This record gives sequence, C-alpha cells and structure tokens, in this order.
Amino acid sequence: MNILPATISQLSMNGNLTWVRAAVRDFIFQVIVIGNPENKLYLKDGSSIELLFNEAEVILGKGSGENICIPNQFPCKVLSLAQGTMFTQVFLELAGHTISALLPSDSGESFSFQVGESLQIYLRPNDIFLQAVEKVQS
Amino acid sequence: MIEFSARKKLLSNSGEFTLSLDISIPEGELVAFFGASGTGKTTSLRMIAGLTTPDCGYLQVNGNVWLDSAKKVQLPVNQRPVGFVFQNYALFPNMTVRENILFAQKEKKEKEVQTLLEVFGLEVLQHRKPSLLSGGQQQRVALARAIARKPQLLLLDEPLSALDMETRTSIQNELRMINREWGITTILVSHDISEIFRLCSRVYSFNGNTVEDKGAPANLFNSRLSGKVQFVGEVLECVQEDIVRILTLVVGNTPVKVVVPATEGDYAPGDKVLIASKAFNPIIRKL
Amino acid sequence: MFDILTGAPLQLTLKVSAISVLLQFLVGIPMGLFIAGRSSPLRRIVDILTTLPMIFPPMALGFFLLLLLGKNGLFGAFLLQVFGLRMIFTFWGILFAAFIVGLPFMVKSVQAARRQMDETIVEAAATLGKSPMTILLRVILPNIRGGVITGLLLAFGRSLGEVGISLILGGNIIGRTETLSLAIYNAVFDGDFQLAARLSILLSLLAIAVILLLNGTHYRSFFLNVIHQSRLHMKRFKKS
Repeated sequence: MNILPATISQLSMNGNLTWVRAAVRDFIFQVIVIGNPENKLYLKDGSSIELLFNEAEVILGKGSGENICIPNQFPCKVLSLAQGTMFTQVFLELAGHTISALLPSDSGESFSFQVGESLQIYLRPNDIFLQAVEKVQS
Repeated sequence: MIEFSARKKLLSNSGEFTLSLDISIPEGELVAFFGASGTGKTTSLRMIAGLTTPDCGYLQVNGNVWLDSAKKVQLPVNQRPVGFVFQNYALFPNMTVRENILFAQKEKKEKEVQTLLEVFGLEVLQHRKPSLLSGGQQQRVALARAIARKPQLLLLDEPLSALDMETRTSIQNELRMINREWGITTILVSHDISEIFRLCSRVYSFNGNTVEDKGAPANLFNSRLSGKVQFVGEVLECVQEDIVRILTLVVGNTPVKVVVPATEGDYAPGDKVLIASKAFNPIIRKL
Repeated sequence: MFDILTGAPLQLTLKVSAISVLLQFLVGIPMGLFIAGRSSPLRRIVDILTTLPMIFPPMALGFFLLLLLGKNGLFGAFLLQVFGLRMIFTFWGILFAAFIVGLPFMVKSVQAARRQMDETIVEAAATLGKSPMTILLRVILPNIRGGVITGLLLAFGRSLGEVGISLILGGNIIGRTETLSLAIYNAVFDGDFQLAARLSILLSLLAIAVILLLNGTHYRSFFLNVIHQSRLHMKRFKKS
C-alpha cells in the first residue's frame, strides 16, 4: 500500500458524493469519495490527510500521456526494481516520497524500465482512499 | 450505571503486569470486553462477580457499593446479584436441566422455570443430565440458569467460543433478546470481532495493562479510512508467491484471498486485519 | 457348625465395623474436604497425619498408640480422668484401631474426588447466591459421592482385616476383644484349621456383602438414570 501525506485544497460536492482535490507538494491529486463534509469531518479545506492506494492500481507510462483520460497524471523517477517471474515491483520517487507499482513482469520487460528513468504515473480518482491523520469520529 | 475501577497484578505469557482499569458501563446495555488473551478480560469479569479479589478497587452497581477496598467493603459472591456464564458452562452434573434452573431460583417458581425452558428450547431436554447435552444445549441451560437467578448484571465469559457457527448465531439472537426483553445489563467477554459487531453497543478494549472505553464497536478499527467496503478479518495463512504474498483471510465465516506485495511487512496466522476497498471497485451480482 | 454366627467375635466385628465406618464417614468427609483445599502448612500437617496409618507398620503404630493411650500415656490419662474411658484392652481400643487404620482411605478418596471436581461449579453455585452450606450439601457432596463410596469401601475393608493394632490395643482377650480377624489368628494358632476356615469364609462373605451393598447404591442410581433416559426416548419416539 502506498501512503502519501496531503492537504485538502478544494472540495466540490454533489449530494453524498465529494470530489476532493488534495495537494502533495505541487501535485494536485483528484479523489472521489462517498460522503460529504457533514458526515465526514475530515473533509475540510486545508485539513491534513493521507492518500492511500494499492500498488496494483498504479499505472505507469512513458511519454506525456496527453490523450489518456485519467485526471491524476504525475511525473516520477524510477528508484529501483524488484524483479519476480510473474510480477515486477517498481519503486518510484514522487514529490519526494517513495511509492511503488506492481505490474506484470511481461509489461515490465517490454517497457524495459531503467533506474533513474523518468516516467509518468496514472491514478484513477476512484482508486485512492482518504485517511484522516488525527482520529476523527466518523 | 456500573462504576468499576481496579488494580490487579496478573501473570501472562509475557510476564507479570498490573491491570489497571477505570470504566463505567451504562445500565441496560450489552457491552463487550475485547482484547487478546491474557489481558485480564476474564479476571475483570470475575472481579465484578466477586470470584477474584482485586489488589485494590471500587465497584458500584446501580447505586450499591459492592467493593470499596479503601473502606474494606467487599460483598461476598453469593450476595452479588449477578448471573455468571462460565466458559465451560459449569452446570451441576448431579442435577437435571430442570433442577439446574430450579436451583438458581430464590423462591421456587415452577412457572418461571417453564417459561425459561420454553424460551431456550429446552423443554424436551428438561429431565436430562448435563453430560448428555451438546455444547450448544449446555450453553442454553447455563444462560437460562443465570437468568433464573434474576440478576442485575449478566456476565458472560466467552460463552460462544466453543460452538459451531449455526449454534453461535442462534444463541447470539437469544442474547440480544435477553438484553432487550429483560433489560439486564450484560457484559460479554469476547475476542470475536464479528460477534461484538453483531451484539454489542459498546466495547471496552483490553490493551495489555489498560482498558479503554471505545464506545461503539465500529470505533475499534480504523474508521479514519474513506473506503466504504470494510471488513475485519483474521489471517489464516500467508504464502509467498513470486514477489507477492497471498493472504488467506477469514471474514465472518467466509474465507477470502488478498494479494499484497512482499515488501508490505509480515502477516502471521491469527493477525487481525482490516480489508478495505473503494465503493467503486468491487463488482457485485445479485444472487 | 453355626456357633460362629452367634459367637462373640462376629458380634464384636459387626459392631466395631459399623461404628467405625460411621465415624470414618463423619470424620473423613470434613477432613478430606479440608485437605483438598489450597495448600497451607496446617493442611500439609493434617494431610501427613492422616496418611500416616496407611503407610506406617501397624505393629509400630500400635505400640506408639499403646504408649500414648495407656493409662499413663498422655491421652490415655486424659481420657481416663475426664471421661473415665479406658482404651487399652477394651472395646474402645478395638474400635479406635479399626477407625484409625481405615480413616486414611476415606480421607484420601474424598480429597481426590474433591480435587477432581470442577471448581467452576462451586463458583457457579456461589454466583447463584447460594450459601457455603447449601453449596456443600447440594453441589459438593453429590458430586464427590463416588469418592465417598470408594473411600468407605476401602476403609471398611481395611478395618475388617485389622489385626496388628487391635492385637496390641485390644489385647486379643477371648470373648472381649477378639474380633473375627483375631479369632482366625487364634484358631490357626491353636491348630483348629476347620474353625479358621469357617471364620475366614464368614469374614469374606461379610466383606462381599458390604461391597455389594455400597456398590448397589452407586449402581442403582446409574441404572435408574439409564431407565429414565430410555423412557424419555420412548416417549419422544411415540410422539414422532
């Protein structure tokens, strides 16, 4: 599981659904959650939260990704690789934090990721969890 | 309201420790003492019943002081109106089911015994000796006997741990019914999370040497997480495959499998885990 | 032939065994329950004292008791002065001998039965508001019944066969302190093997009778239970 500390910068609500924008340094992550500021007290402008997402949900790509329909696209750098027969785990540096992506070794090979290489990561807004930093009653 | 504070030196696998607890339990609620084994749950229950004496403590139940070691007040066990259900049921082997229940009554009231036998489905078994009953049946007798005594407080020491799923569920329903119908404040010692979720309105978490009033059972776990699909499970098995680990978990009574990267840290059988998914991700089909 | 049935040894033996079994029952249960409790120095002392007659050579024990209970002995003098009771060479000496050798079997059986009993049923009875007396009568005693019966049997058997101490304390006086066991000894000593044989058969029959009697109470409840259960099954069977 990847965990990134973030700060909520903008909230837009529609009924019980909330579109959250949260900043990790200069990168703005977009996350969609069920709930609104009335029943989820941590949904508040400026509050510190954590973004959680599964390694297997991280999509990696080379190039700019302009024509891919995913709002969360960030540049990152390959730190190291853990090579398995079935899977390859790629460790990446993103905004000063280390995250990892788990992908099939086949695609890892065909893309031949190199340590130090710059990549683009893609995350769907509905794959990211929010977690309140200090304990708040839900 | 039950006000209970106690200090008691205890021995556990990891050595000696002093259990210190200060809790208050609202009247009429069904609450749980939750925690790993060896954290003093059963001892606390026994201290409430008067079966174990704390090193020092204070216990007040519905306005009556049962224990005040500062004033050297200690009500003997047989003067505390509690119904205690032991882990091994502790039925009297020399008495039949009916006699076990009759024995618990202050004044013999055949009619009440009859009602209890009916409520717990023990009518056909009433003339049997406990040794001829199944675990679930013995458990029902133990509950009926504890209630026949008309307790102000029902204390249940892991009453369901030895029973199969089906019996467990039906006795859980009976426990809820007892609490609702008779309004008896009930304390349930349990380390089964799903049981606590199903039955209890409040949880006291035993964390080694302190006891924390967690409020609603949901607060026991990480409710800070936004995922809408959350389960608490227990690790059955953790197998490394390639650079990932496959965890076999049991959620409720359903086994599930989850894949985590091997870098994620260690999981051992018996570990409690939270399984979460975003509400958008699971696929769902009507059965 | 049947003169032994009306003779003094049988009467004495019956009287002594009956009274000593009764005393062993009354004394053995509280003592057994007492030493079954949590270990303490006092309990250990009582435990050792009660076990002593079980392993101590009867002749040596008899001799010590003779010194202790004789009219110049510590207890003997006391008993004589306070109660006017002479222990040595009397019925009381024989009774005391029979009682003391059988008692450990009773105490130990009760102790073992109590230790084996599930302690939580005692706790359960206490949480049901029952007094210690009620718990003793309704919970503890019924649940150590097997141990009590075994204890009584063993104690009775030991008392019946007692020779050594009765010989020293009772003096083996024909017509006064001659028990069946001693009568056999005397008959053999006199070379009257026929009498010894008849007495031995009588003594054996007596022992078997008591075993059957005591076991009977044990098994009867067992059979009653079985009959009761099968009746219930029949009833349910008929219903369905």
